[in-house]
Order: sequence, then structure tokens, then C-alpha cells
Amino acid sequence: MHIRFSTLGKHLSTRRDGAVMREKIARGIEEKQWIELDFDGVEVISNSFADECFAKLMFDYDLPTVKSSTTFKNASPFIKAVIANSFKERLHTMHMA
Amino acid sequence: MSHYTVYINFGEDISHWGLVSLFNEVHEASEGDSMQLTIDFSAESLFVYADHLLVVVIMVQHLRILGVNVKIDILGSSEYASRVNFFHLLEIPYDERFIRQLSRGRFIELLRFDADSMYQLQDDLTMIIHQIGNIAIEVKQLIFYCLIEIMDNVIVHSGKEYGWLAAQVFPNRREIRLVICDNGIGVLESLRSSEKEEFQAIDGAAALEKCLQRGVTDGKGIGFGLYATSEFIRHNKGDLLLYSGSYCLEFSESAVVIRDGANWPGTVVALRIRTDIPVDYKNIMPSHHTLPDDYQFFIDKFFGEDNELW
Repeated sequence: MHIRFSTLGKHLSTRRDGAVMREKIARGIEEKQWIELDFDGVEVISNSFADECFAKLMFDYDLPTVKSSTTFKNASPFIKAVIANSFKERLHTMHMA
Repeated sequence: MSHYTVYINFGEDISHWGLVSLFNEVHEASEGDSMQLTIDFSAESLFVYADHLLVVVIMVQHLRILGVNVKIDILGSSEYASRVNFFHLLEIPYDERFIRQLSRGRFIELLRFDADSMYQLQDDLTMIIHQIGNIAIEVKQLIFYCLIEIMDNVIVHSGKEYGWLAAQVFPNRREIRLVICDNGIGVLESLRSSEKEEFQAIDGAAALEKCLQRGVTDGKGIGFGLYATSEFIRHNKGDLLLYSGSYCLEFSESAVVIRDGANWPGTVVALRIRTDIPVDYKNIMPSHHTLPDDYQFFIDKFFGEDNELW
């Protein structure tokens, strides 16, 4: 499964868009597909988008499962840092729950 | 040729010791013998624990390796047992009448590990537990530590190239059940293999007591892992079962009890960990130990060097 985030634009900021993409990723995980998360053409993502799209996957899946089902492609160091931080922040919230 | 019959009823709340005892006579079995194993899941209320299931799997596999013909009948059904791959590991068909969903932390499969895979397994299992709320961070940190220590014990001391692990989280009961086991040479033979004079004349019961003591080792390790684990359990007010050969040691904050009479071909370490009772690692670890930093490093490393992800 190949998910192109640039279909949403160069700047990804809304939780709504994040939720749409998360559903696609979740479907791929359930179908045991190998999912390529392609950020070619994407310049910026917001913390909100990253949290909604990626971090909230952890509500339904173990992080090892997410990790073994996906790979990030063409993501800039900035985008990767935002995504990684979203996971860590959400982990912290979940741990404190 | 001998024939053995074993019946396990998961409608009864059987202890680890009781479960292992059911296979007592079967330890006499050898190549060409047979065993009829009936596993009963038909009761309305079931007590199905991952660590119990793993004990059954390893015993069956051990007997099959010996050349014993094991026939298994299943009465009733258990979605949980199926979901953790119990029937698959026993190599018996089971009609799964449910859709397998990848649910966070609820179904940790019965897992085999070796020297190559145990570090990844430590990371994965720790992260699964880390995601679960309402578990004291100090407990998570010490599980992270004890997990690799006990797995490493299997690889280093059992004489086998692999071991097995099962874990189950009970959020409502505020506990985690964890078992790591093998069917290797056992604690007594491991200590005796060191050729240290102090270990040559002891029996299996003394071997279990000794291996929990700090600094006791067959020479291949430093003798700290099981000691630290027992101290964690003691402060945590949990339970530790350690059995090997014909003895079982039951360790808790209040008592150490050793039983004999149930045979296990190898070693089992079974832990019941309280998730609501934090333990200060400084009460256990040598001074200047960096467990919290190690744990945080593990969290950060999970996302790659410099957040490189995957």
C-alpha cells in the first residue's frame, strides 16, 4: 500500500486530514499490508496533523505493530522530528492515563 | 511401549505447580511411547492464562522431540488461547470463529526467542507495556531490566539456543503475568557445570535457593539478574515462581517456600507483577546504576537515531 501525503497538499495541518490518513493506514495494518508513507512533495506538517494521523494509531495498535507495518519515505528531517515527537508526546499522555 | 493420559481442565483455577504436576508421570516417557492429552475449555468460566498455556506448549514440544507420540483432544473453545497461537503451536487445527484484530497489548502471543531475537523482543514487549496507562513508570523500568536478564539467562545457562516467553496484562487487577522458560539443563546442572566445589554436593532445592542470591553464578554471568528480579518482586509485593527439575520455589515478600514432586525439564521463571506498586530501583541496583536513563534511551531509540523513524 502506497500512501502519498502530497494528495492533501504541501502543508498538512488539520486534524481532519490526519484522521482521514489514519483510517487508510489502519486499514492497511488490518489487511496486513506493507505500507509506504510517502511525503514526497510535502514541505510541512503540523503537530496536530502528526498526532491525529500517526500518534493516535497507538490507541488501536501496539507501536511495534505500527513500526513493522510501515515505512517513511521522502520525509524531511523536520517532518520526521514532528512525527517522532507526536508519538513520544502521545506515549507520555497514554502512560500518564 | 507406555501410554500416558493427561487431562487439563481450564475451568478450574489450577496453579502453576498443579499444572506441571499433571505431567509428572510423563517424564518417564521415551521414544515410541504415547500420550493422550485432553485440554478442556468447555466450562462456562475459564481460567486461561498465557503462562499456563505456554507450559503446556513446551511440555508437548519437549515430548515430541523425545519421540513421544502426543495426541491432543480439545473440548470446548477458547478465543484467547487461539489468539495467542496456542493451538497453532501445538500443531492442532482450530476453527477460529472470530476475526483476528490487532489490538493494542491485549493479545501478546506465546513467543519463542533466541540470542538474535531477544533484544528486539525486549524492545517490543517493553513498548507494548509502556503504551498501557496506569502502570507505574518504575515498574515499567524494572520489567525492562528483568526481561532481558531472564531471557539472557536462558541463552547463556540453559544449554539451549532458544527459550519461550508469555505475557499477559490485567488492567483491572493491576497486574502483569510474565513467564520465561526453557527445557534445558536446569538450574542445578547449570550451577554444577561451573565445577565450583560449593555447588557439587547441593540438591535441586538448594540450587533454587542459591540462584536467587546475589553473586551466585555458574561462572558465565555475574549472578545479579535473578537476584535483582527477586528483589523487584519482593518490594513490589508480587510473586515469583522458579522451578527447575523436581523442585519449585515460590517467592514473595512474606515467604520463600520450596516444594518438590513436580518435574520440569528445564527452568521456568514466572512472575506476577503488581502494576500499582512502584519500586525504587536504587533499593536493588548498584549505586550509580542508570536504569531510568537506560529506559528513556530505549524510548528515544525506538524512533531511530535523531528521530529517523523507520
